[in-house]
Amino acid sequence: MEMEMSVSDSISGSWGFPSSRKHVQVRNAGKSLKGSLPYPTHINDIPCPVLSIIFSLVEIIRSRNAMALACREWYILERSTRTTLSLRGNIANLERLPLCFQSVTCLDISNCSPWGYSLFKAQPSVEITAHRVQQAFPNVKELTVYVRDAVDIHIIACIWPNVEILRLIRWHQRAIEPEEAAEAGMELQSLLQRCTHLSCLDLSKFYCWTEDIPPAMMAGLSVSKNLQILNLLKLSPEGFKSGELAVIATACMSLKELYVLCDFDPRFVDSIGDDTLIQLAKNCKLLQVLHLVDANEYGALRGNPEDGFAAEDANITREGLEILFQALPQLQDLALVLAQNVRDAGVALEALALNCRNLTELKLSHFHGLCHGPRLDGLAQCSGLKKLSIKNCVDLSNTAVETIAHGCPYLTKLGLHSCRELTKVGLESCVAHLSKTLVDVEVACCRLLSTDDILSALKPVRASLKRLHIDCLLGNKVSDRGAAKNAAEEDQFEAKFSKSRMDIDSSSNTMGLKMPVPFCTAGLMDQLGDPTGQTITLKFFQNSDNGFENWQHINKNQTSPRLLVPSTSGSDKSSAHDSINSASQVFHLAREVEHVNDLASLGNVAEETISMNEGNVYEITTVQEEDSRCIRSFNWQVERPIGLSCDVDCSSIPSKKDRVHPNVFQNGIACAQEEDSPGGHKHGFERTLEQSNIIETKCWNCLTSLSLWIPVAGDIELLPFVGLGSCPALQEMNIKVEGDCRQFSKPPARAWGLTSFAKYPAIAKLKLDLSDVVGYALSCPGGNLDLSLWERYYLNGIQNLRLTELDYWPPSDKEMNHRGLSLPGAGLLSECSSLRKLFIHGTTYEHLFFMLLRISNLRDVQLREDYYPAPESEMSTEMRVDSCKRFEMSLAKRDFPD
Amino acid sequence: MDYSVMWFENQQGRSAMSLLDAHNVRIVGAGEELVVLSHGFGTDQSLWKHVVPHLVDNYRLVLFDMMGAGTTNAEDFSFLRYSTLHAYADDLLAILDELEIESCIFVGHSVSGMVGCLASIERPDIFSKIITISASPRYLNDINYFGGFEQDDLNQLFGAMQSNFKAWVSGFAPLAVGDDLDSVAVQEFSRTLFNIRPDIALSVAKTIFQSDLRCILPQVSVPCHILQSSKDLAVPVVVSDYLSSSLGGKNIVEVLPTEGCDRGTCLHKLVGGFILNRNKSEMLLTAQSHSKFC
Repeated sequence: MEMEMSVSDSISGSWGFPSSRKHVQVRNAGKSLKGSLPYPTHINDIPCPVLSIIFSLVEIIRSRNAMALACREWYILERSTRTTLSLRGNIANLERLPLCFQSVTCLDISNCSPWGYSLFKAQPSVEITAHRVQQAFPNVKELTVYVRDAVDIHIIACIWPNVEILRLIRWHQRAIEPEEAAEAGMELQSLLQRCTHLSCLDLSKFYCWTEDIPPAMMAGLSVSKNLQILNLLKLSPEGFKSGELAVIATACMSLKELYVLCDFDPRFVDSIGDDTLIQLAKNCKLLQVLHLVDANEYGALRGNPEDGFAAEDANITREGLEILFQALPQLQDLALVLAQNVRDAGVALEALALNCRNLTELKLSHFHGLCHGPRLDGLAQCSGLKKLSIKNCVDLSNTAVETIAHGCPYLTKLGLHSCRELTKVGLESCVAHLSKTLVDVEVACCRLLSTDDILSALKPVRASLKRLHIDCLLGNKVSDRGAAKNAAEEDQFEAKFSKSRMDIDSSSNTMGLKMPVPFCTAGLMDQLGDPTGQTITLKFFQNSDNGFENWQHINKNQTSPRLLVPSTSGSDKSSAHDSINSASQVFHLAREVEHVNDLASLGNVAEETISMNEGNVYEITTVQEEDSRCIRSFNWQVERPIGLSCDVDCSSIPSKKDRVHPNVFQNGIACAQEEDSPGGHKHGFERTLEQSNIIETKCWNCLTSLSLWIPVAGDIELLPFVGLGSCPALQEMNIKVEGDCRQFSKPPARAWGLTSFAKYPAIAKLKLDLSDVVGYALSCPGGNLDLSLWERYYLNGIQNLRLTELDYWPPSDKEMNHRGLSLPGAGLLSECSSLRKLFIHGTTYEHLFFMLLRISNLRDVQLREDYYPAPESEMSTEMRVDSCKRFEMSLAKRDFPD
Repeated sequence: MDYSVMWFENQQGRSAMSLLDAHNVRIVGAGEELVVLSHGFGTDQSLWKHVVPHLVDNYRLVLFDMMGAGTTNAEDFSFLRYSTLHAYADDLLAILDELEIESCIFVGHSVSGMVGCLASIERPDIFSKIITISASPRYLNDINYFGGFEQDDLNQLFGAMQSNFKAWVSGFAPLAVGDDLDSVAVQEFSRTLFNIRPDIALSVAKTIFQSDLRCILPQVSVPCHILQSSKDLAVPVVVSDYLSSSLGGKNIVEVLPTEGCDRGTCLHKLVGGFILNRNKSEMLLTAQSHSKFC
């Protein structure tokens, strides 16, 4: 009994229902078992039906497992309330299925390793296994299963004829042997004839041909006409043709949700045009969700931000779209993702707004003129929209975005990809309008928006944003980095700062400026005698009454008041500065302000403009944050037009040998200051201008998911420091790296900088997609390096993140259709000691695979060869069935700590 | 593309099964003539995946993994046995015997080319022809012989492999890769070696670089077709000339320019290229091309 109670105590924390009285009792009972409690209420006092309801509310599987271990009654109760089950292990062991999960309705056996086997052929006797499976899960309504061939599908259909929701998964190539599935549609035929209750069919991860689907649909007409949800998104590299889609539309009359990969390219015969759309609309009048995605646009690589219109115009016109919208009044979610232009879409979109009143989600790609309707509003008429994603819109101007923000006040998700006209101003005002609702933002591939622009434009929603996708284009100049390294050797002081050095592109005043960066010792400043002369605006925000005096105090300490001097970097002794282009500026905070009296006249906020010479205008906002008693220490926050903030730390060196940085920097850069600046002492003040995050304003409190796109040799080390400094809730990161590393002779550094993400305390899941990092596998020309080195570059430091789940796509050699884990990759992954789940979307050698066994917490490992074209057999990659089996066995043999 | 994959059934009893299993033997194709495709070290039979589709219609192809490849069970690898290339030749013959092959064309890439030559000395009757791709009887330079590798390069290679080995033994991540080495030739050669388990890699690398098969070349009586990339970083072109002049039987050298692709010596391109681009598969693999032998 004691054991039972302790278990119940340990699980009580994970119960999902709020502040239940029973809950509290359980706690008490557990804690005071050995003490004396006046009411020894026992958890078993709860009547069985109540307990059963409680059990059914527990969603966390591990808690459920723990509950089932408590005692026999609990075990029975738990099993009888368990409705979802996801099985792992090898598919060849199906005959050893547990029989206890009788009430499972939602079964997922797609995670069972399909290595080497088709689902049922692996079994000693198909009939017995099928019978056994049927016995084990008699009530399955929702099924996810990995099937290799027609036989599997047929048996599935026989076992579970009453299944309602079915997801098929296959990443092996479609069988082409005559006896198995030569004729198109043979594979799915029996499924669509037998499973009469089928309402949802998801083939989005089922590798086959588009030709397979229409005949299968026609063959099982009675089933397909009752289908409500059909997902045909990425089953083949090619999209569906017009004729095929028409057949599907005719067969599936009562579809409510349709997701199809289409072929919109007008250059091809039978591509999708107006006629197809009209036919679709006429046949499937009940559609609520319609996603038509062009095959070339699905999962497309990031385009060139400079790209304008697509090469072709789609066969889709305003009239066609209007008819479509008129015919589908129930539409709630529409995605028309094309790779071809649809011009002047505004009119059609007004028709959409007029006809589809329930529309809440909209996704458009290559639609132009979104806001040029007859009433000049276009898209903005869709006032009920909650999620909007616009891709590749050539003429989406700032005003258009603002109009949309006005017109669709309920937007919670906003996606803007490849909008070449959009600038920071537009984004800013749009975000400001939507600041109350917006929780999910994607801004990518907009040529006029730098990462910093986006981050600063998102200021109003910083505290409420939950999901964010941006391009990470920080200082991706390899040479700058290398130069900074050189500087590091020269001057340690500089080295601390070179980490945060970014190039400042001042050629465009409005948005080109990327980062502040300068860290300047007094000694350096002495060498910079020549003020280049720019107009500087200083703003002082004072938080305390004494601030003014502090300010004066500084001035007293100055020998001769000077100003903030933006100086060109060329005169610097550090070679790093030379590498920054001449237009870029390094700010040197040199001298101060003469007319401090103005501060008083303006109250706590004073603005002062001091004209030095002709030149650019910079605005420097100084916020004094520190307690004024700390007379010799100041923090000035310097804000530039780019919206980034820096802290300026001024403290007097002579008085403090071991200076404590007055501000608590979380990012760690600032703390690493040292005293021994060459020649710094004589000047009286050491001035450090530091890029940092102001904790109060830069905290992304709700951000749980961050998605990044990074160019191949891009730098991520700085990301946590430039604008995403504090993300206490960040759990999940998606990182997509893209580019051709063959253009570089070698990686720019030893490590990419994954370590820097370790400062996000809650990060647990990472999806690291290097599949579009293209390089040479196994062999490469002289002067280049193969992918193993690049893999080492990218993965270095991953062991410092406390990840529990990792989805990893190794870099690939597309010409060879080769994507595999290399020796250093496997080595580095094997040091991530906290990993529980690891999915590798590629192949690897057995001995590399075995290195992963060093991860003591590892439970789920899967090797998924889910790249296209799929490998035709296990022999065509490095992994063999036997190797994989040996690995799975040794993984299963291990004891799991919990 | 329409070819069937056929697993060899157990006809010879258990030991036969395990031999073929251990080497992951696979037979594909519908043709009459048998072609054995043998990969080099550090790779596996997937090396041929781009070649197979072009041959399956006209030939029966035997594919297998050599012992020590990353795809075989490391437990089966005997360090003592596989310290010479003769062991690999014995394996090859054993497989061919197991399959009761009486005559075949042997295609060997890199070190496999020499393994094929060794096997043919023992059983010249089985091999109607040997095609070697980037083969070399000796990698180290010697007096009057240019193999492409200096002892210093090799020392560096062994050093890197040893450090990987030590890390591996002590439970750390082996992180050294072929690209860390200075010499381009060693880089190219060792790239795949680093994909083998560190202990096996060290042993295999030593075996390869200690081997000197120059003396056995005159005993090879089977006609040989020597394919060589003009820009091969690991095997200099002169080696193919040396092979040609030393081999005992009829032979022909073909130096393939790797034009149109900037990876100098991509072995895949070479393999695929000689069949794909130049469409020479017929000529190379059928009897008519025998007339070309000198």
